[in-house]
Parts: sequence; C-alpha cells; structure tokens
Amino acid sequence: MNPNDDDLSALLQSHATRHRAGPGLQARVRSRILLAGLRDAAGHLVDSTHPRPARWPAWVAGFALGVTVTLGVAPWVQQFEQDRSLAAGVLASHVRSLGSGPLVEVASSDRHTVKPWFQGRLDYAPPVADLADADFPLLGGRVETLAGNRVAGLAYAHRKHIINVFVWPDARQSPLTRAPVRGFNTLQWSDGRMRFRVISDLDAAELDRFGDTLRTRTAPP
Amino acid sequence: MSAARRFERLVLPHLDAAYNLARWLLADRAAAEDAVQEAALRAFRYFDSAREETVRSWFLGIVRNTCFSHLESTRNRQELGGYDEATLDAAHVAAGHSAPEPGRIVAGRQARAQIDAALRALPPPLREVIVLRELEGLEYAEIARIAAIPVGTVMSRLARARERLRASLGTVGSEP
Repeated sequence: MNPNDDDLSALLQSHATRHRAGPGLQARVRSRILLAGLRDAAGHLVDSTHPRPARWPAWVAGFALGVTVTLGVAPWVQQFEQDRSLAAGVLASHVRSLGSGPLVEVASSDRHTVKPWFQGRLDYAPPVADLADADFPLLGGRVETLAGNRVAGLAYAHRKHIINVFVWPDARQSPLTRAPVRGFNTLQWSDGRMRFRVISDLDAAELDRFGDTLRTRTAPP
Repeated sequence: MSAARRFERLVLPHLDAAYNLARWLLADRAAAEDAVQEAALRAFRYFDSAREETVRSWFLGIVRNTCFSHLESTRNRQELGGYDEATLDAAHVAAGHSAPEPGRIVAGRQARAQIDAALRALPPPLREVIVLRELEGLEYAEIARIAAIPVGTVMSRLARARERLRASLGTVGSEP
C-alpha cells in the first residue's frame, strides 16, 4: 500500500464522523421487533405506527353495550355499576388493542421516550416503569378512553402475552384485587396517587409477579 | 418471543454500524433512522435464513439495499444510473482531477467538516466502500458480501475513492 493510503486512512479514522444509533432509535427498533414477534405469534396485526381512529369489531362493541344495558341504573348500585362498566371498558379496550389496534401510538421500549409523549395529550404524567429486566419489556403507550375519561394505556409484553396497564390519578388508596374476566386475568389497586388497572391473558401467577414488580417500581417515594 | 430475543442478541449489536452506513448513504438523519428501522424489520422477517457467523454482513447488506432503494426512489435516476466501473472512471476523468497538492495540511477543528464534506462528495458506491473499510474497519471479503460485488471491485472502488479524497483534501506528507 502506498504510504499516502495509510495517511489518508489515519485522517479518515480520526476525523470523519462516525454516527451512532442513539438510545431512542435503539428503543424504537427493539419495540418494533418485539411487536413483530408478537404479531407472528398472535397471527394478526398488533403494531401500528400511525394512530388510527378506534374501530371496534362488532362483537366487542356488542359485549360492552350488553354489559351496560343489563345493569340497572338504581343509585345505590351506582358505585358497583361504575366499576362494572369500567371493567367492561378495560376488557373492550384490551381486546380492541389486540385486534384492530392500535396497541401503541408511541412504540418504544424506552420509558424516557414514552413518558414525555403523554405531555400535552393528558393532563397528568403517568408513571412509566421499565420492567425489562424482569422479562416484562415495555412496548409503548397510547391514550385510551375509559368511562369517558382520557387515560394512559401502557402495553407490556411477557413471552407471547400482552399486558395492558391503564393508569390515572386517584387519591383513594385501595388494596390489590384480582378478578378474572372472560378468560383474562385482571388486577387493580391504587397507591394513593394513581389507580392502576391491569389486564392480560397471562396466567394469574405471572400476572401477580408483573403486578408486584410494577407496584414496586411505581411506588410513591 | 424467542425469535425476537435471538434477533436482539445477534443483530442489535450491529445497529451502530447500520446507522452509520445509513447516515453516510442517505445524509438526512430522519431518512437514515427510517431506513434502519425498515431494514431491521425486514431482517427480522428473513431471520431464519441468517447464519450466526455472517449476521453482521447479512444485516448490513439489508441496510445498504434499503438505503439504495430509497436513493433510487427519491433522486433523479441519472445521478445514480450506470454505476459500473467504466462510468465511474469516465466521470472521474471528465471532472479533471489533478494530482493532489503535497503538503496542504488538514488540521484542527476544520478537519472534521472538511473530511465529512469530501466523503459526502463521493458518489454513493464509492462512499459505501470507504465508509465500510475506514470507519467500520471491515475486511474486503465482508464489504464484498455487503455490497454484493466481487472483492476485486471493492478494491478498485476503494482506490478510486482514495484518489478522489486525496484530490479534495490534499495529503498530509510524511513528516521528516
């Protein structure tokens, strides 16, 4: 090799810009691959890079409507009914997110990308925890409407299962309760600042582990 | 999910190299990020056909193909057309590059800007091989696999790229 080639190499290697994929890009790629993997496993599209208006499969809308209609409107069951319709909303939202989607509007496994995304879209800052080391990677977030309110929806994954977490401000502390709904497992609790509702087709034991990990990582200081 | 995890373990370590190549081929940061994401998804689709020993060149090959497709669709075809060796030679001669001025030193803070500009001025097929060789430190054989060209072509394109860079930058003479 001509000595000038060595000098030129040295110049290029010392001075030319070597671009590096930032953490944002890495997180987006990671999330997209996870979603693609889940899509393959689930057999239908769960990924959406562009937010779409919600399109409910007919049977889901019918189910949610059916639950609301069969409940009475007597005031003394108002609290119970509110919880039932909220539960129906959580279920419908979960199923819709897995079906016509979108599962996430911001697809990133990086909580430092997902949390700020909600700014301007919600009037509160939802806690977004990183649970990847516990094998519950974050897939991303979206804005959901539950019982007429806009709330944060966070999607996590565990193996082939998707876990949806809905979280909104609620100062009434309440202990953890578990409830199976139509074959899905659900958890709910409030830590005195935020209310969490979790739903997944994950088995109860694993969902408990998810819930424990999430509660620990989002506990008020 | 094991396919996704295996993909993460084998392919994601090459994301920096992928992004660097995409940035040098596409210039625009947003386009480069899009290309890398698209390439990653495409690679995941075809992950079954990847062999562990050659994952890096396989993945970078998908990245450069994605970038060249993007270049073809967004630029005047003529700019890209006919990147065979004869055309590259003819263009080089026509541009009238003279021998480099000895002793014109590239130094200091301006060095990066000057060198980046000189790299950018190379046509994409020459820029691609010099980036893979000098910035990623890859062997000729691997560059050949990535760009889907014979090793001989890699070496002749490198020689041409170096000639043009020397013409743009001058040379740092060996200090006495």
